[in-house]
Amino acid sequence: MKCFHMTSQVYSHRNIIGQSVPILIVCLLIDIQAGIFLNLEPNLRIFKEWPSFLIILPAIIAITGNIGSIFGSRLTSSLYLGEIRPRLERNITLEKSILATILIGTISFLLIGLAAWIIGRQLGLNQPTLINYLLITTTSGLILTLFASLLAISSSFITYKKGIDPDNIVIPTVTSLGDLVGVAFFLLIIRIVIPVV
Amino acid sequence: MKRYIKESLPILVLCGLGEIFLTGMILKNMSPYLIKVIGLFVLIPTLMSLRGNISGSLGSRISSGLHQGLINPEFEKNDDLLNNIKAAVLMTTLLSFLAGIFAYFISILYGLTADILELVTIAFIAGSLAGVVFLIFTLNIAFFTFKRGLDPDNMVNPIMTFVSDFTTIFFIYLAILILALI
Repeated sequence: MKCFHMTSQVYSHRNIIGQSVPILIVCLLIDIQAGIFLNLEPNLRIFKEWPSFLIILPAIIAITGNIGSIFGSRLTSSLYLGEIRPRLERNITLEKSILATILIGTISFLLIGLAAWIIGRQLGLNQPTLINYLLITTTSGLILTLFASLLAISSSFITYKKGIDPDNIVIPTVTSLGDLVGVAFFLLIIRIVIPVV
Repeated sequence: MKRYIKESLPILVLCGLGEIFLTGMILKNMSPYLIKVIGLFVLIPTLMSLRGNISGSLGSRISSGLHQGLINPEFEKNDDLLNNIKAAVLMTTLLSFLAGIFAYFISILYGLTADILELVTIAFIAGSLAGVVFLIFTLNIAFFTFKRGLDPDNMVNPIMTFVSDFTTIFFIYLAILILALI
């Protein structure tokens, strides 16, 4: 019997569900939109013709979401520590964090692109040249990192100002919007770099 | 700032490699079904992110609970811990089911002739199974990082996303294979 836990109980499942479900449904609808993009005939054809883009797709989506949520939690901590204020102003801590995030994003996407291309080659998959493949993954990565950073900044500022628990809002929103924009930009850049598709 | 880069970059790249080797490979092997089962591709980002979202916020709540001393880093009868688990299980099953329904109706709007029974069954089986398996992993990793004094912000999320994506795609593939047998 651990009765003292009753008095210290902070989380009730009703509260957690009540706070999470609306945002989870919003995220669900955003992600379904991302899925629709993938499932549309012309895009399905890209993946059919170039399966090596299918191999890297989960990594692209995941890294975008991860960068957003790592940066988002970092910002939330900085806000509570008083290192930054929730408004757009020149701030060394914020600027350095943004630069570091862009650096982290670009390097990750470059390395992941290289790894996926090598694997595709080993498997004998039909794929673009290394230069084109890296151009696609790194450009997508740079755009997506910028987008994830903006999203992390705006969502953490809003949740901090409104006093909502950021755990339940920031991370889901950032990952789902990251998925949608990630899929859209990835497919767009493939089409720009390889116009024949 | 150096700690930020040093802690995030290797883990992001490692998890990215994991995504390619496991999640991406399963996805590639699933490609005939992606064309055959209309709307299946719609479920993939949806179920992956649903898993990540539910467990991600569960992980953060558990981490906060651990740091505030509300929860101990072990499986024991603790109301804060149990309520978190209850909430996660309920949301996983309910929202996996909804994911199938929504995916069907939105696919129809876009002129994709999906099969409602097929999509809902895949979403519900894959979503719920992956959800329960992944819940156990989430709790273990939250306890582990807390005990080791690692910064959960930079470590937990990428590892969780990777394992969550892999678990989800694995169970989606399993659900399709089960449906194909029936």
